[in-house]
Amino acid sequence: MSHSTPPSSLKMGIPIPNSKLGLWLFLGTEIMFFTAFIGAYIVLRIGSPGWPTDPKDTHILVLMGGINTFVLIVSSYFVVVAHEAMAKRDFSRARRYLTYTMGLAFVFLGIKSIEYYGKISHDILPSHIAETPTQAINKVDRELEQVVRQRFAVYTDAEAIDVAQPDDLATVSAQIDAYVKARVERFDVPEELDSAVANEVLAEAKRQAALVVTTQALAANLGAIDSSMIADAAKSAASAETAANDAVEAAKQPSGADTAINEAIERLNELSTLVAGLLEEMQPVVGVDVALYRKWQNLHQHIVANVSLEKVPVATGPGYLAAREALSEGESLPALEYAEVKAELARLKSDTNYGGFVSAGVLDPHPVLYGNLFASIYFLMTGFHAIHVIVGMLLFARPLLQGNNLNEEWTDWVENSGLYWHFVDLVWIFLFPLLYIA
Amino acid sequence: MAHDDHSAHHVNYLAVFVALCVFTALSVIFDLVSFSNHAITIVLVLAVAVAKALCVMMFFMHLKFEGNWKYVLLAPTTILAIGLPLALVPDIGVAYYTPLAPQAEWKAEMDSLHDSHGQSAGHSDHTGHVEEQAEVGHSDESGDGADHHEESHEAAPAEKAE
Repeated sequence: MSHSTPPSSLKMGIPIPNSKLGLWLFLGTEIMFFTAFIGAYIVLRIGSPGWPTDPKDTHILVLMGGINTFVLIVSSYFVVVAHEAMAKRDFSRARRYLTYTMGLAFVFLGIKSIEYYGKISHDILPSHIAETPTQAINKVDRELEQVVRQRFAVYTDAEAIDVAQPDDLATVSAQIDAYVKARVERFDVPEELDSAVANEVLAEAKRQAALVVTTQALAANLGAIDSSMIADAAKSAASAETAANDAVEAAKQPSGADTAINEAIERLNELSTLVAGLLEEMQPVVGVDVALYRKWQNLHQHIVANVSLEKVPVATGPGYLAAREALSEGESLPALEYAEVKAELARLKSDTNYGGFVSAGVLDPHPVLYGNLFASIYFLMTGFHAIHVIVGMLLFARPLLQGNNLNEEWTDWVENSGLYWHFVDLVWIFLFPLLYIA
Repeated sequence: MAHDDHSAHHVNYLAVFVALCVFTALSVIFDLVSFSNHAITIVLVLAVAVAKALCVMMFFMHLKFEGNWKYVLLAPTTILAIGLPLALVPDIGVAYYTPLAPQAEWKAEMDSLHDSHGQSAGHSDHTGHVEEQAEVGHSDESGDGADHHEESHEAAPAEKAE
């Protein structure tokens, strides 16, 4: 072994363990990897006048980054202490400090995830950020449309309305109105009771039973209607259908059908009353969704036409077209302003009926120039660093899993993973000032 | 054997650790003190980062006590790593021609927004007129400027619908 003989002057190679040489070579590639990102970031930033630095724009938390810097420095120190203990064969001390290091790695990732959560909840994500007022207006439009679609999903899931194509959104308001206004008429008793009447009663009973099922699904999703009313209607629908089936059977006989048909008609009319009551109950709930839809539609039309919300009341229809026709050459209707959209959104959010949905689904507009490039760089660099932290945790987990069997065979392992961990710390030492302070 | 070499050097790791903590506190202080020029903050903070990096590399990573192999291993990678950003600087960092990035155009829109925010509510009418005039100027240039606007706005919801 080379350990026992003094190295001769002719010996080739480097006087360190192979594993350590391999790790240093790997760290060499890592230096190039991270310098490429950091260097590209610096260059892009120099070339981007107006780069976002305000924490209100970037949602950067300097304190969190500072704490994480401290956490990593402490953990680096603990790794050094652990390695020193390994060299002195004090394995229980080494294990203790490796455990501390592991704990601090968890703390680092925890703080990191708080930061990530804040960014994600503010939609500070690559390609999601509006960089101009115009883009911010469009984002409000799209998010509000999403809210409206989610409200409509309640009706489409219950098959009350049909929005197969995006274009069908235009008919949605009318569809919902028609559904709720579908008054169920009383079934008048005809003079002659025959099998045709029985079949008619059965068809009508089935139609109304379907209406009950749809309304039931709607009411469950909207959480709006007294459940006992629906239960009554469902029971009544079942009995009306049974009575109608009996009537159809009875009408096949030459005589004695009248009583059965009369009975079925009576059941049917009871059901009609219940269904009419149900639909009446639904009306205000549905009215809220229709009102929200109309608000979005109006805003959307103004955005598409780029005309002022306040100065041009309607941005569609013959009146609007006539106003545009009347313009002379080179003249245009007053343009939509960012402040108007902001004010309109604030009004929608403070509405007592649908304000909750709007607030939950639409972020306040906040254009940030270069916001997307910033978000890409932030997540790319901190993300790769976080992956390195996780790999380091796996490296420390192996000697820790030895438990009391940790021995001198693991000294090189601890030294090498310690070197790797210092490199992870090193990267953060540069990322913190560059991303959080600069 | 290499290992025993290191143990021979008695580094006061605790002192290095304390120095690193002081450096970290320094960079936070530099951030809190608002210098007249933000560039001063950046330079100071990065200088502190370099000092911290040197501490970690020399003492925690033992580079101070390693043989000359460290230069063979680290010099080429360091040179290559520095080469990439330097090669990018003339292309992106310091543009010789007018920058083509869309943000260069968007900046004007953002600046006018910030200006109108800065002014009091009483002046908002005034800025509104300025923006209107700019709009008219646009449509004069291209003849059917208003239609252009319509197209670009309509594109966004259509994409979303997919």
